[in-house]
Amino acid sequence: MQSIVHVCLAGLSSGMFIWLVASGLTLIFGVLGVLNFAHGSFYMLGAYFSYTVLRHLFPNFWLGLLLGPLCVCAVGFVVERFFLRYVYRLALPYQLLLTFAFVLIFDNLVKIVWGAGSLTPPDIGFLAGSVPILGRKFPVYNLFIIGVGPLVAVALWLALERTWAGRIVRAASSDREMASAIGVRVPALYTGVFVFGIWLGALGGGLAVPYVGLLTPGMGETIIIEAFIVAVIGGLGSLKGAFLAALVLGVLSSFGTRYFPAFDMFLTFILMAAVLLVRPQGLFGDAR
Amino acid sequence: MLLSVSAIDTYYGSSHILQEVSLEVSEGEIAALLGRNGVGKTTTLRSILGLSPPRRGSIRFAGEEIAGLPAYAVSRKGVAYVPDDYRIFPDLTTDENLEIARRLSPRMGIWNRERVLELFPKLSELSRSKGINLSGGEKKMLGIGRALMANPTLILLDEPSEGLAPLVVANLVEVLGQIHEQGVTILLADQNLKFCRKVCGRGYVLEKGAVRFGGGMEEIWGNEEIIRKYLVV
Ligand SMILES: Nc1ncnc2c1ncn2[C@@H]1O[C@H](COP(=O)(O)OP(=O)(O)O)[C@@H](O)[C@H]1O
Ligand SMILES: [Mg+2]
Repeated sequence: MQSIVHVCLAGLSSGMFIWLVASGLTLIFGVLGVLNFAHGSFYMLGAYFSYTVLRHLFPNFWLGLLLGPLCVCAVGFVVERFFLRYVYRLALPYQLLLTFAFVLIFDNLVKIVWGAGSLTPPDIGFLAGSVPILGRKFPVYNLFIIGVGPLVAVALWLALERTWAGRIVRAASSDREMASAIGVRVPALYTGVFVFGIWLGALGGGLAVPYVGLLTPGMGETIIIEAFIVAVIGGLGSLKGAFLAALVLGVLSSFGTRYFPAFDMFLTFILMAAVLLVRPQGLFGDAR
Repeated sequence: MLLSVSAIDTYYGSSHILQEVSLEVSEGEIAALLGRNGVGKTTTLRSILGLSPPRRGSIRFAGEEIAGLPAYAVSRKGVAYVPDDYRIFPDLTTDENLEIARRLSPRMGIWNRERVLELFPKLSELSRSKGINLSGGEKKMLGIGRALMANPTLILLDEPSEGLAPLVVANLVEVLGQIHEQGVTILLADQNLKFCRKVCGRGYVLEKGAVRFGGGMEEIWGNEEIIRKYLVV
């Protein structure tokens, strides 16, 4: 019992990171129609920028979390405004090629700037330590992460459903042309949504700094695959689906690692295959 | 002239659709684009708004050149569009579909939610229904209401009478009359000559992407040759 609860909690906290990356991925796909393969790289950049803020500027968790992802937003702006914008009209393979090119570029840039080896985050003492849960210790920071994920989900839901900016985004995502016919500057809106989606991924990276223990130049690649799986299982474009799928996948792979270490990712793919066989459009996808 | 379209040529890819289309709409009038299916009425409206920009020619609206401007810029200058398939935002409620247009318009004027609901009382029962759940007729009303919410000077109205029962068409004639009384200019595209005669003062007859005739509605109504050649099916 005790270990099952702990495996679940560990799964929930790793699921939240997948959710943060998948949320931006899903939002960008839902509105722009682009599958941003480089999303994991923005997660990685979020981690490295936050690391730099914490180590070299301000050893304060919140400042790292604020400034790191902001820097990544500037990178995201350049990517959308000067590159991605030109492939919206092209077929999916071109979009994947371009975003995959950015995966390679960012991986190498990180190696050039921060070195090819792994980095140990500075100890800033934020929510350090553990609390006993059912008689076994569980890191406080991981509990914090389990709280942050749903918080982001609720905030995102409120922003999309209850604000006018959100309604305009939904209108443009369902009918780009009619949105422009009533006065929406669709290209600017796309830039905004892309940068915001990037911010979500980078926030995940910033939050990962005290969690992962080591930063490595390839850290975006594992998470982008998981985030893709989650986005597909949830139904491409559905934030609700991505959230639920991230939780399920996080917990499932936590059980996998604990009880069937040889089949870790295997379980994940079985889940994806099973869901897609029953519902090809994913849990909450509309069958467009 | 509120709107002067001069010799525009519009293409879809490599197919040449509009061929030197010219027309004029003066402030306060309701003008018609007539012609059979596929002659280029919708394309003309889309060209004016900037959704299908013309490759050549000029479009002047309220004294400014608008050919080549993106649709959002044309819309902000006071041109509203009601597509033939209404294009109501499916994910937004009736009220939100109205309010979003008001918020995105930089223009002030007499049109607001209350006035639109006076015009279309049926919509007030549907204020919280999502666009996707409305019937075709309801979407059509909402499409016109959404256009009015922007307080436009000119409304481009595509196929307003299409698919409506005769009683509903009579009501639409009434409603367009009321909108017209408020000083809104309308350019509408419709195949129904009787309907256009009731609503419009002047009309342009299109065939194969070109204007074949332009004049008063009575003149068109009385010209059997035009009717036979270009209008009756
Ligand atoms: N998106 C499109 N791509 C290619 N051809 C089109 C497109 N839309 C319309 N057309 C063609 O342009 C011509 C004019 O169409 P349209 O303006 O819709 O006519 P109308 O509104 O008078 O029925 C038709 O021959 C139609 O087949
Ligand atoms: Mg048409």
